[in-house]
Amino acid sequence: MNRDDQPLFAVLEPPPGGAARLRERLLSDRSSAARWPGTAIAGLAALVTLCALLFYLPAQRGERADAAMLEAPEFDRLLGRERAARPLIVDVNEHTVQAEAVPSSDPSVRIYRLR
Amino acid sequence: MTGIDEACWIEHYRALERPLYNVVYRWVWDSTESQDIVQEAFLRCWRVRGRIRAETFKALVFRTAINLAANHRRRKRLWRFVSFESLPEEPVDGGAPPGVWSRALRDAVESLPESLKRVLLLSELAGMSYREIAEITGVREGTVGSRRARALAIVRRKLESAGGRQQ
Repeated sequence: MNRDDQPLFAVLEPPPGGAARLRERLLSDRSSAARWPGTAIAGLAALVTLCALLFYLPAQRGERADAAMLEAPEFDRLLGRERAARPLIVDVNEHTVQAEAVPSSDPSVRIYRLR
Repeated sequence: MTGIDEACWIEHYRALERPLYNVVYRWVWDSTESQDIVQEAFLRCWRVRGRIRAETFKALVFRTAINLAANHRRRKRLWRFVSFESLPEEPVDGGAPPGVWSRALRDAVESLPESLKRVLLLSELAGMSYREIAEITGVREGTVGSRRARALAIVRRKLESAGGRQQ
């Protein structure tokens, strides 16, 4: 190979103790390789638990909240439920009274009697 | 290299540590990081030792070390860019002999395209033949020769323009 008169680069000595350090790294690599199946299984189990916590529990709580909301009378018509007969209460002259529907011949007119 | 033990691996390391270190050093310009990269290359090859053929071992270790060094350098550059950190005026490394840190030489080497730099460093610092370099870099021997000549011309021109020839 062609070499010029003067070498371009000086040859440096690597820091001492490199071989000993490499031996340590090889040993620790071997022990970590031996550990990895156990570590992987533990990690997988932790991941599954975390997924359950993140998705299952909020979903359950949400279902309960949804159920409570759907029990409200406002959803009767939307859900095709039979409306429960509820008394009509109104305030008249600072008094709470019950109103009773009276049959009317005109469908556009509703008549109530106050008790 | 199936069946090779750790002691034998360490012997290979001893034989190649210095040339590898010198090549890697001209990539990262830090002695501790250079040695770490050389060791990392040996560690990675150790993990796949069962698939390595003895005749390609040297090329594989050099190739691995150079790739690691190039990646390391790119990460450092990116970090400098992100953190707005400027390059130090001179490499900070107390263990180096005086005169090694020629800023001009470093700038000249740094200015080379990676393909030229690989060839130059392998030929000048690892003492490899064109055939060996061709094996590592994956190009023909003729290309190795022309790349080395181009790299040397660029470096020498830059050194002359910087007014310094010495390392």
